[in-house]
Amino acid sequence: MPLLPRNWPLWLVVLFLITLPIGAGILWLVLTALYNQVHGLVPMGKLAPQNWRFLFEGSVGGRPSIWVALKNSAVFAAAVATLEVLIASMAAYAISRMKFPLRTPYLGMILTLHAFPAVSLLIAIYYILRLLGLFDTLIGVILVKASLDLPLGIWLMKGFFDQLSWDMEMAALVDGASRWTVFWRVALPLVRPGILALGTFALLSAWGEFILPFTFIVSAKSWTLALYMQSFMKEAFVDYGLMAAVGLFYALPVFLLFLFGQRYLLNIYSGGVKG
Amino acid sequence: MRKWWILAAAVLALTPVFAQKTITIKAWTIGPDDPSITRLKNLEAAVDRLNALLAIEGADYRVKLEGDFDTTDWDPYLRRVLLAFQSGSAPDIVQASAAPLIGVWATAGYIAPIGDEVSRYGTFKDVFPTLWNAVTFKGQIFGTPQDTEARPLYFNKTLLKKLGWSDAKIAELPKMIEKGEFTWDDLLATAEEALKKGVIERGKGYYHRPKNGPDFLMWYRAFGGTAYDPASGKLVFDKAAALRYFTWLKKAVDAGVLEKDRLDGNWKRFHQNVTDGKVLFFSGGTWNWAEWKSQWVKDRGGESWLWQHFGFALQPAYEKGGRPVTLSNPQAYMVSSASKHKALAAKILAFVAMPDLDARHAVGSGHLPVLQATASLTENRFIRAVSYMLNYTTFQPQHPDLPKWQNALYRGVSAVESGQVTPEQAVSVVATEMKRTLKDQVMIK
Repeated sequence: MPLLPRNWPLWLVVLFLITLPIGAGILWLVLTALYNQVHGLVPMGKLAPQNWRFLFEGSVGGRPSIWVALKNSAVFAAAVATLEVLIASMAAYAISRMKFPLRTPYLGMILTLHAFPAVSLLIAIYYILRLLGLFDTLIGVILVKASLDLPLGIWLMKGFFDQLSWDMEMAALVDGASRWTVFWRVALPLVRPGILALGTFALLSAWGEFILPFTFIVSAKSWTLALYMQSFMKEAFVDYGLMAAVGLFYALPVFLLFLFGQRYLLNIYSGGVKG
Repeated sequence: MRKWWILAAAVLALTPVFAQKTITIKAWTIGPDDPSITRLKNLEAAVDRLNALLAIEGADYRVKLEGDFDTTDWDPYLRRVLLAFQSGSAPDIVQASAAPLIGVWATAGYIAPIGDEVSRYGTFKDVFPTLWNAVTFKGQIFGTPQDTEARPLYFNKTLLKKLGWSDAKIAELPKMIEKGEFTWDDLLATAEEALKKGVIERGKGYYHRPKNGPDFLMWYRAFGGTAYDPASGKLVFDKAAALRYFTWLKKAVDAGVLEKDRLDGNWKRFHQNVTDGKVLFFSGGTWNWAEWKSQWVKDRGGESWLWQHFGFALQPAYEKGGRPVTLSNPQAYMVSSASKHKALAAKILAFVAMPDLDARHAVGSGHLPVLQATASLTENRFIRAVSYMLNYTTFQPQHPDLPKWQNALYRGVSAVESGQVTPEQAVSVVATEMKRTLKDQVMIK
């Protein structure tokens, strides 16, 4: 068994112990969502389909319908991921392949922006959104989220473009292709693993985003799932069954993405030019 | 060519349908207690009735309500409202505590005076006159009363019985408190006895709310304090009354009647221990009754369990023969200045001020009605039993800087309870803090 490390059963035990708290958390979530009451991790009482009432009732306790929140979350995550991939890949290509004045300081500035925690910019962003009339709109939050995540995306994609060999692009240019054709037809297909990686990261990060929508969206019709879920965390009486069911519902798309997209996600780590 | 004719005819035929405008009115409401959802549901019902009337009148518009009911907490809700006010995207109707928010928001220009509209609609004439004071700021009406309540001192009858009290004596307690025969010191002595006899656990003789709120002003008043001078329009801090209040808290903590960490911010723990029947005396609000009934003791018999185990009275006086108090924090619907449909919003509020809707909210959420006609409509035992408390009620002063006053007093309470300072030191800390933050807006006596 050359592939397994020595003492592999021991490693397995260590891994199991490390994973245990996370596993227990997920198990609690599933059990609480399904049963009337859960003591520790032991379900008490009957199965409780009423925990899932938010799926069928138009509104639970004055909240907007979960389907509105789901739609908003889907639009938010998809738009952020699309914007990020589109802008980051173009910017990264330009930075990687072209010479222009102040290129290095520009790269440094992008990195500085990445170092800023989004929270420290909240107040400034509020004023900008207010000025643009984008406060309390999904578009406003999409733009903010995409721009805050862009520095990381640009650096990631720049790395991918840097690794590409010049030869193919040179050949295309010699054959009379324009810069745009070279980017679109030659370079972009070669960094597909990078695009997939960035797209997935952006999608997941936007799906889980809380603080930006929480601060910049104030009316319930633009709620994302994160805000919907937060509304169940109350001052006193919390219906944990309902909350766990909503949590599970919230996590389900991500889970499905991993289940069916696993093969493609693992591809991230391979790819490039053979040869 | 024929196709075009058909299309044109269709457009013409549909024109009257499209000519009917739909005006969207946004309304934000908050519990945060679940049963208070009628604050939103009543607005929805009012809009339905208004639309029915518009249909009969053949008006060319209909109203659509885009409502929102917040169940999280006051802080995030008020933050949300403030951001919306500042960005100009405020909802047309906002519901919040009348005092001191009307003072604060009217000063900032966020809400519009609606006195003219109020005088136009007959439904408002039935509102209890005192409640208009709560929504009036500098002589102008800035909102319409939504509900009111009282904040009783609850007591656990089962525990009192275990302590040796007879049923008759327990039944007599609210009367004794009303007459000023049972004071805060008597409460302390009773709780101490219960602790000694093992009827209660340490720290569970008396519970008050776990975080800042209007109640601390009420207890300061129960110990003889005044908070506002109507003649000068300034806030007042009475050192002697505060010292009495703080000294009582200190004694209660030292005697093991009151928890040292009672101000732990945890409402869940408050309700859990109270409804587990572990706490002897506890100050709360009438709406707690509805929450306990529909959530905390729902599986144990709901309201009948409450009647069996809990009693309620006013907040006692501090000396024999003194006057007991309670505090009402009326809720109000306000119309934002940024609203494009102020008159329509006020019209909806006139449609909400109906006895049936008022009764539905009062009974469902444990609040008290704002219309005089409602009282005769409701057959609810709890509402009828607590209504007398309104004779002893007080309000929060409508001063825009009241939150600063409250924060300073709260700091004193929390410092005394946690044992950081003596009551005397706390009084001087509070006085200094008030002078610093309120400057000439406070009179220290």
